[in-house]
Amino acid sequence: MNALETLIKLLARLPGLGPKSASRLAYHLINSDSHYNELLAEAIGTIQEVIFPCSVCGSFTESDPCPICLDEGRDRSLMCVVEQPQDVLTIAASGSYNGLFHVLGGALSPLEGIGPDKLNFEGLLKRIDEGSFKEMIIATNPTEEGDTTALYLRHLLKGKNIAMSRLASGLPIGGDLEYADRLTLARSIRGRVDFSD
Amino acid sequence: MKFRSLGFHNFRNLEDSLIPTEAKHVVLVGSNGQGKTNFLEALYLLCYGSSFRAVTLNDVCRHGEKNFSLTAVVEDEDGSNQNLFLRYSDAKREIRIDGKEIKDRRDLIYNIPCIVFSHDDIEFIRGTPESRRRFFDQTLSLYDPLYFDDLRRYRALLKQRNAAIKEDYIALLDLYNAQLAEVGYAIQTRRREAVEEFNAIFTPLYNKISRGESGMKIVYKASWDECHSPSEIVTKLENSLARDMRQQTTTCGVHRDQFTLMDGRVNFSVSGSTGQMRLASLIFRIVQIETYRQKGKKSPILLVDDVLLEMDTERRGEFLKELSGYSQAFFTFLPEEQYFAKFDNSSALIYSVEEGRFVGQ
Ligand SMILES: [Zn+2]
Repeated sequence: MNALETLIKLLARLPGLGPKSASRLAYHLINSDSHYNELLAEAIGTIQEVIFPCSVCGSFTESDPCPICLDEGRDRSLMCVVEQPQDVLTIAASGSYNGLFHVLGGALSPLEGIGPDKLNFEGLLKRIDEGSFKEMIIATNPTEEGDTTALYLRHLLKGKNIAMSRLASGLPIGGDLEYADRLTLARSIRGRVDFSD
Repeated sequence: MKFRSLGFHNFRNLEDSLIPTEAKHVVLVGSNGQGKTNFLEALYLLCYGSSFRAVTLNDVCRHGEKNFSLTAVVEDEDGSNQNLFLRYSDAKREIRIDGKEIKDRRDLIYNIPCIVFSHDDIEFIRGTPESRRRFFDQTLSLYDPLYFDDLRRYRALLKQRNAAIKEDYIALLDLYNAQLAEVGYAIQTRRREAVEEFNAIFTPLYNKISRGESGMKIVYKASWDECHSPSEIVTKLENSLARDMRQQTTTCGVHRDQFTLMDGRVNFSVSGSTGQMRLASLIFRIVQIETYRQKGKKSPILLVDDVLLEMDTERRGEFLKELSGYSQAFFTFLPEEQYFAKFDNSSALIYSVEEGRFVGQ
């Protein structure tokens, strides 16, 4: 295999790229300015050393704990539980949420071998026991897996005296949080529904 | 709704062309293997994104090709036009309505209501309980998007529950039980209503066309028959846990519901003759049309493929007389068949089909 074929193969493994668009990108890189290519290679090569999951909340950060966890201006009685680190960015960017976050690392799906043991529920319980949380917003995706994960959280936190709500209307059924536009999300955070038993 | 034209490229044995279809009845006449059913298949693909035959999209490309495309102009009830486009290439399907790409199949299937009469329909009568369950799921989904969603959700939850059993995630079973009970109860209730409505049309119509006095009807036996609320279903699921663990699957639920066609006290799937079963299967479809017309408040498009052959002239006449309530219908016939009684020249477009070519009569 020559260098070009290797590059195309590697690019095609990125989500959303097929063989066609991968080869278009590869030819684009061959023709683009070499300084740009060096910067890109450097950025890709070091991304995992520079950015890692926050040891407290699990979202991506360059320093540990992350700026959100350290931010004294945030409401420490409020926790928003999400599936993925990128969901933290989406909700933080909506501008209508000022509490802390917790990343589970996915949603419950036995079909894909993801049971409670594979997600960060333990860290969550520890934070609840040691912190001063009064309210939790469950922002798992509006999918069967997200629903089941929300139900599991409710079951897990029974008796902890924490008000629970679930992001509700506006999100497309079966859709991903990542793609929800900001306005819908902002509305959804305001219109969250009570999820306590 | 009405197809005004249908165009195809690289599709099965059909010669690349654009065929006008602007008539209430479109009749395709030709010997077997000339392309009549392929034409209907193309229409169906534009309505639902998949074939009514058990094939993949790769199989419907012309021999030796790896892509195909279909186009159609459809006239809506209000007289406006809609442009449909389906392309399959690079093993990917792309569907557009008026240029806008359709991502979720749900947005497609409620666009154009279309009902096929196919040779395999006899399986609704002769086949297993699953085949009749499929018929009722289809009938309900056609006019009720909520039922379609419930069914999709139930299947997803069932798969997860079965996986939880296999992977030994017992702590999760309570959660799946609660969700399955909720959505399963809704499905069971809707099915019970649907069977009652079905029988109210089916029994008298079968008697009329067959000139008989039988009490033919569907008997619905739900797996959770004795449960009258989601919480009773949860209890039932909890009680069947030991058996579920032993068999490594969910042993009760709406996926096990039974629909039996009874002729008095006799199971018609066993006792009926081929001719009777064919007739019954045609009436199943007529009931589907009628139900859709009443509930969906729209008239469907019909694709009638080679299903009249096994019936005598008299029954065939009766059947065609009862076939109504549609906005447009496509029929296939063999050259030697008599079919013209129903289709006078003013309402019908007649094509003879030979080796994938369509010639107007
Ligand atoms: Zn953090």
